[in-house]
Amino acid sequence: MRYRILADKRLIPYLYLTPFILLFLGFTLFPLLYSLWMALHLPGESGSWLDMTFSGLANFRYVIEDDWFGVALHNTLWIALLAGLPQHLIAIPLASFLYRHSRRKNLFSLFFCFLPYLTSSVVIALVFNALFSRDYGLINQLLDTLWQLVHPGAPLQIDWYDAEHIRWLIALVVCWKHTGWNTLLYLSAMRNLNKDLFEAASLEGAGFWRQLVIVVIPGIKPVLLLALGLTLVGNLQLFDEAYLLTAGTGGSGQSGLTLMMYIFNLAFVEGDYALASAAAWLITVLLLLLLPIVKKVIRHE
Amino acid sequence: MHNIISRISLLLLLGLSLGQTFATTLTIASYPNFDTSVREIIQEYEKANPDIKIRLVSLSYFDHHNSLYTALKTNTPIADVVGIEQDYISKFVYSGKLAPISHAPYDAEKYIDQLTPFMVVNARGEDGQLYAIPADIGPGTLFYRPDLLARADVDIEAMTTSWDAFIEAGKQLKKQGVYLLANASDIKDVFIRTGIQSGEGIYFDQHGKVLVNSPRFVRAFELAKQVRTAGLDGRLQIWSNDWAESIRRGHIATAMMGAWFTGHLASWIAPEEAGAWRAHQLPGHVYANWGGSYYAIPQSAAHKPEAWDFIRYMTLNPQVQRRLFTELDTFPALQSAQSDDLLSRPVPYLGNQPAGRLWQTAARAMPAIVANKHDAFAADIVRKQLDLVLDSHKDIPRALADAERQITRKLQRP
Repeated sequence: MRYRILADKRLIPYLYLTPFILLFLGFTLFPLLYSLWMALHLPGESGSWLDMTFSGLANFRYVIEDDWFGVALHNTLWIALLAGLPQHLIAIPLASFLYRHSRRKNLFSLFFCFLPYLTSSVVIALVFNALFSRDYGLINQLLDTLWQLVHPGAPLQIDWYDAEHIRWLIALVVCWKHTGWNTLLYLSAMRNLNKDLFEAASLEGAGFWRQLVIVVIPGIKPVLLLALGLTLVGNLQLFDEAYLLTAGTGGSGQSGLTLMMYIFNLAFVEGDYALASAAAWLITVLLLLLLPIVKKVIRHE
Repeated sequence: MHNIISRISLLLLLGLSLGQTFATTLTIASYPNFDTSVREIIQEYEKANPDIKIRLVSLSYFDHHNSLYTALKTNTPIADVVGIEQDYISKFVYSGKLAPISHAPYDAEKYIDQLTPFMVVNARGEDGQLYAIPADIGPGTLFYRPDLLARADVDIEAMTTSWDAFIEAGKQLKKQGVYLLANASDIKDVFIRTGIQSGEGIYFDQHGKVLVNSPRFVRAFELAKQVRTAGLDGRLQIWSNDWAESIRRGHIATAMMGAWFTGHLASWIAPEEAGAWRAHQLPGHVYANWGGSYYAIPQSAAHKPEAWDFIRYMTLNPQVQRRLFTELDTFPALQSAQSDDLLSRPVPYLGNQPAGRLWQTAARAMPAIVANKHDAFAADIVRKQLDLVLDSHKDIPRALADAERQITRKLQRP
């Protein structure tokens, strides 16, 4: 009698799934819907969630019309492109090179490829801050020495943190950090390719770069799509590197302000969760629009 | 029955003895350098109050205020006593999440005559109740390096007669390879705090009208732009590593800050350079309050009576306030602590200059500033617009009009 409910076999899978379903409802679905609810309401005096008035799309409008949202969107897309493309342009040949020259699983080179990805963003930002310091940084001293060889007596001093350069610096850090991760993805995809293809290509006289174009890239297309998608999502959600390199200020002229920093400021500096939710949903929509475009571009190639 | 009663009494006894062995832990949330004053007195306070243990939680200036605000708004019990800086005081007082301390069980109203009046005004909420007690104030000061000025043949008296003379002196310093200021925005920060009419704040008047598109801001932006165009500033971001390093290496000749900056210099920026810096009144014979700190008790605090005892000790005890001034150069907000013997005492870091006198003069002449709960937001917008003027050649009138529009837009949000 007691176990009769379990006797119905159709229910058993759901019973096993209960922990996941509960966690999903509590920590994924509920926050998602709650943020949508907040985005559509204006907070009341007390700040309690019971005391909200429906405001339609007013929060979305406020965000879209905000000067700094436009700046953040521009910066984010700019950094996404500048940090995103080189990652793959370096990673694919690098993976191909590693594939050719390490027949056995070369854990050592893989470890070095992967190291930047494993290192905490905070540590990376600290090191890059020291390297790129305007007056006391190693990079500027090196550049200045080289420059003085050509133009003696004319000191060169680049301010990597000013409005003009900060986006390059952020893009460099992001690119440096994620290239190894992509190399790993491509390498594992190449290991699954048929070795005969490479041999056939060599016999036909195709060199490294030719093989890359005719064998590797068509073979790893599904992984390429995945990797580019991950890069796009990751770069549109860029926060750590930009926040740390600009000390949370967004940099001079807000040139280093990313969309996620913009949301962070709305929520945790200004305390306006309704606006922050609206901005977050706008970015979700933007991602949903951009991903099919990436997919289409790769399919066509 | 008997058995149950004896068990309960045993438990009660156990509870009582536990309560006696384990002292109350009083958590204090603060930020650098304001947190040093707590560190300074922890030992003697715990000695005098054996049932109290003090736990200090300190975060960087922006992190402290942002996370504190989020915690208060969500009723998270974060600390029993919180430190709040001048720029944020109204935002916190109007958050509705601080405990009113005017009347029983507190008694702050009794002491207000002893405190710097304009600081008290800003600690009052809409209902007229007090929500915080000022601990120190920041008389605006021009810190300078006499050795660097001498090298450029610049006289401190002459260079402070007007802002123009100040900038001219900067050009002399530049010839010696020394920057007048760490960042051109420093001059904006001081200038917008000067010449404030009564009933006005820095960014808003007492009725909440936005003031950023006024001659005060135009002039402040122009001065900053002049300094940047002439190449007189180090273009260093305040509080950054490079900024501190440049001050340490003697690349910066002057810094305009509150009196509290002495403590920063002495404790972490340039402790080795003791005696190299001096203090002077601001250029152009103006006086301005720059910074100042408060203590408050959150509504969610677990140990409110103990928190109030602690705050009284820190802010209303003349001996403690005097000691903090001597040790850490925080200028007392408690007027009875501003005694003559204390203020004429030499300040070791400033080459034994009796700087207290100077700060007292400034403190008496400083205009009262009306705080507004949107001060921190407005300060941020003005900072962003000045960046655009200095680095991206944006027009000053356009920048200030944009700042006014952006702040007004925010005010219209419920």
